[in-house]
Amino acid sequence: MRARGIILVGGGSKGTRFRPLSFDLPKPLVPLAGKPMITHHLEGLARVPNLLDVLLLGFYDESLFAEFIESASARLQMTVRYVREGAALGTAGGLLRYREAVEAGSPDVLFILHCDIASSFPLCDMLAFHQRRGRSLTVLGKRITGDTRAYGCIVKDERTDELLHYAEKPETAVSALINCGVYVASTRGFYALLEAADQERARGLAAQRLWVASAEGERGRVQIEQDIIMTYEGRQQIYVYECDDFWCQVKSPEAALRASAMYLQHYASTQPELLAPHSHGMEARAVRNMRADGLNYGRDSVNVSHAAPTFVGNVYVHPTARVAATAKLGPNVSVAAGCVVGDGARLVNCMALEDSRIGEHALVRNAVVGWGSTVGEWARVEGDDLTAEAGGRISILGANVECAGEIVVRNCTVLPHKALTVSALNQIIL
Amino acid sequence: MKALILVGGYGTRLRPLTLSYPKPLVEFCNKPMVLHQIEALAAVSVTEVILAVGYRPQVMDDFLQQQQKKLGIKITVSREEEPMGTAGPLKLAQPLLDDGEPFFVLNSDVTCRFPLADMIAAHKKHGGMGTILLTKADEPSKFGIVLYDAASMRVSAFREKPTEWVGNMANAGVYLLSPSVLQRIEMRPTSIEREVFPALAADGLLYAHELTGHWADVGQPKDYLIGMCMHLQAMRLENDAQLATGPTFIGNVLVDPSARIGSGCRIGPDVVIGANCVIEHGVRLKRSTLLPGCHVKSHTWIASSIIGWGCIIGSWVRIENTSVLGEDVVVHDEVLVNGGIVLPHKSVSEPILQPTVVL
Repeated sequence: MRARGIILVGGGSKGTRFRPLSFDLPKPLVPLAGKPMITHHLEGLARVPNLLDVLLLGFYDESLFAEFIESASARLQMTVRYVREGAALGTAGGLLRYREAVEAGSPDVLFILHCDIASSFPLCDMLAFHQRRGRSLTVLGKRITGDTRAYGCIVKDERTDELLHYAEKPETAVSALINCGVYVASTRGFYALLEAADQERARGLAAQRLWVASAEGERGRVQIEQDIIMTYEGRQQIYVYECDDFWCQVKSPEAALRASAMYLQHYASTQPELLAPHSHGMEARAVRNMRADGLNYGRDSVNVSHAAPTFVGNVYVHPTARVAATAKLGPNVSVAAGCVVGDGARLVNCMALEDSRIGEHALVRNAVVGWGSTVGEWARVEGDDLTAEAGGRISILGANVECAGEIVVRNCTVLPHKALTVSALNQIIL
Repeated sequence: MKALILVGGYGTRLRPLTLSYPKPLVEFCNKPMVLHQIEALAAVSVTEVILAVGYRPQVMDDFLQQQQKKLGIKITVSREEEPMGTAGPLKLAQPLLDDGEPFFVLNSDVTCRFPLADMIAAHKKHGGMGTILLTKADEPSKFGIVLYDAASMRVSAFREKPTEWVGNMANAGVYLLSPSVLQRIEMRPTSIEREVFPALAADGLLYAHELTGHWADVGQPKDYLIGMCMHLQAMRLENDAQLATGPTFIGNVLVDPSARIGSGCRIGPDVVIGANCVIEHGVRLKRSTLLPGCHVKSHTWIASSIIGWGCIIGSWVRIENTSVLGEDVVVHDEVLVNGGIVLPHKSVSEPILQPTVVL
């Protein structure tokens, strides 16, 4: 059974909610728990047996993904290719338009993954379910508590797992079971649905006389959710694989922090070597070197082999980052390549993106520090505690922001290349 | 020579500090407020100081007993049963005060370099019944403005908090009065500024003396910090050896010898650290007073605030914007306190984002 992975990465006009981080990098490459967002997808796909390759389907310029594809392919030893859509074609339009590329090598099944989600990607279990029970399409579903109206809501047959009803972002509560945006499709069956759906759409558009006016542009736009799932619900084509693993949408920087926390927790069981030393949430003094080469971490941390930063909970520190021995990090902290964390700095629930610098005695909490940004000594970059209240706001420094020493930046979004010299509260700083 | 210090009541404007100690005992630049005045008085051979108080806690009596022995000066307390204004306490203390000699009257909220010897000389020279110290006010509408003749220094009129420009020399709250003034005060609640002085001025018996150095009313937290900066700068100009030196310190910093300071700190400008304070590593302090016995943990940042006796401030805390922590307040690690007024013995574990009183 041959399989192909497809990650729907979207394009530059998408991901506006991810500003200012998406100014400098396509959203699918924004790091979560120290890895680009879709690396987690690729790692999930890498566990699937007989995987032919992975296609990234989107309308970003392919050059933006070239470096990522090269390093990810090499590290995961898989073929990753970028297929550029001419225009936004909807979640399934690209699959239809670039069918040749999708069907090349005759994969039996397709794994179709939305990019802006964080998940454990239980793809092998999904595949087993699909083979056992599924038909054309299997949808990953999860039961959540609270308001589900922002999601695609699913009603399934509890006995057969068939998808009986689907509502995309309904105005009233429909069900607690939601669509995770992860699909396993039988290639042949899926394309049969897709073609039929597309033709049905075309007929509908023609009837509305829209067909002539907007020609091809409108025709290719097909959504998996609205045009396939909602058309074929209750027709023994679509089944739901329900899984209770972690999952969340990643549509905003706030969500990115939540997703990072989930992935870091996931590392604890899957890749514990990625986490900085810690002991089950309790504060513990790290005993081993952060860097194998034993180089100096910070200005005064000369005696590196006997002193290491304090880690609390799950913390990821890239091997090339330098963290002073008197710094305290965690829980839920990711420190990317080339970062410098100064003496006595405190990082909590935050991401320091590549080459950022956290000054001595500074505190960064519930925040994202963008690429190459600097937080001055004794400065404080803070946001709301996302676990305490819903709809909180974090602080986000875009790329190359310079935050002066001793100031407070609270619940602010700062656009790239800005120099902050005075404290700011609840602002978007252009 | 005798002197009377107008202490007044409960010092509510300086709460929450005055919930723990009476205002005269609250340290200002590492010395109880009233001691600044008593020492200045002792330096011009005043032999007896009378404190006019509205309430009289035991802790104050004990303190005055000690100082009496230490300075070799008699200190007595005159307590008013009901508020007597600013002149009534003089009448009340008349039996203690009147020895036929001129006496000083000092407002206890005032900090300056008291030019008491100069005032004595001026008083003798002009032969009037009162000499009043004047200081230049930036905002005359907040003060009692005194009009006087620049050549003779004779005071012509008083204008209390004028809304239109009449002058900018304000009553500094330091007077030298001849005992006959006491005859002009009735035994009732009455104001020295509004009743006694205007009458003296009308009779041509009141003279002005200009203060050249700094002056501040330190009766409330904001002004306490302003006064602290002025006082430290005055110490600097006098080359006072008590000011801290070394790479850790910026500008004017006063540290009690018993305080301990960790490595990597940056302290100043304008900081006062009281007795037995412990400052851990990498702490940044600016324009603040730490009263005795505070413990500030590593990496914390404090600016423009007053930290009460025995407070424990956690690591990575930030305190600013005229925050005042009462005695024995605990601020948990990483908490931000922006303009927090925290009453004694409270524990602060949630951030204070906007100026708030924590009961």
